[in-house]
Amino acid sequence: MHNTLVGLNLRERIRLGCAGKVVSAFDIARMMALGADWWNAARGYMFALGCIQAQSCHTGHCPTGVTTQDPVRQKALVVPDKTERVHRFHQHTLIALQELVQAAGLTHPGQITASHIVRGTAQGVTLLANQIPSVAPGALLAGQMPHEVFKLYWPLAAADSFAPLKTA
Amino acid sequence: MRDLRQTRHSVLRNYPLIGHVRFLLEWIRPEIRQYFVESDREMVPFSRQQRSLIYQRAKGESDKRPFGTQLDVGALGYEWINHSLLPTALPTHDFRVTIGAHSSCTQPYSASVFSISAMSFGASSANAILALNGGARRCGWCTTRWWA
Repeated sequence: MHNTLVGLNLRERIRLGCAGKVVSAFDIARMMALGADWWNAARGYMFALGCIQAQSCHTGHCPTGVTTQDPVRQKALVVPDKTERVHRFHQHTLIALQELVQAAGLTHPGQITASHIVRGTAQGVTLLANQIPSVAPGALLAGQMPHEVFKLYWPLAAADSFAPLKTA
Repeated sequence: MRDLRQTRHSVLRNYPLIGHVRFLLEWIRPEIRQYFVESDREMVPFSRQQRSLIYQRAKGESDKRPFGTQLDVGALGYEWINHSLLPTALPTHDFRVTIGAHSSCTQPYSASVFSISAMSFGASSANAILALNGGARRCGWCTTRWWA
């Protein structure tokens, strides 16, 4: 997504949010490196509410009152106490992120790029930037198809419909 | 006798007494596994380590672990962020991102870089939603409101 927007010179106009098993400050630093501007957590905040991962959300019998419509079970979750926990989880996670940003010599997490993340691979230690594809600004507008994924899908795409175009 | 005659559970037809022990153990297996057997890094789907970190931060307890990492830093796929020779000292951790920063946007929004995701709010309890939104309000940021 980040690459496509860069290739269309739209990246400055559109902010990207990400989500999915992102709970620690390093998790977010890594998502920023891949091109995200902010991140959302759902299950992370459920843990802050007291979720114990009993995995009975779909039954209505949540033992901690997080995912239930049962008024008695809900009472287990004391709102003022858990409000404070949600607040502290947010604050302390951002403080941890601040430490990472400062250590990397940056002033905002949005400055983290794939060149700041290092990865151990079978070929040795390398920057994440060497492992993931990038697209030059405006490349797609200029008709360049820098990667296989664009060569395959770009000709199938149309601005007015999500249905793929028919190819010859 | 009832166990011997019933047709639903084959195990109970052959082992009418001890068969019940098996069902009891199977019933409490997830709990025993989570309390005693599961390793700290096993993702099921969130590891004990991940959950402990969140609990500690939510309670305002220390989120530090002494004596070095428990992770295998030589493992394939292990990642870290490099330390700069010129670290910064920032006045705040309230990192923001402006959504709608382009001049064509009439109502830009300053969001925290860390927000509460959409959840199945139809499944979440009223108290859970009150606590989430209350926590969000305390810092002036938002939850994405999708109903699934």
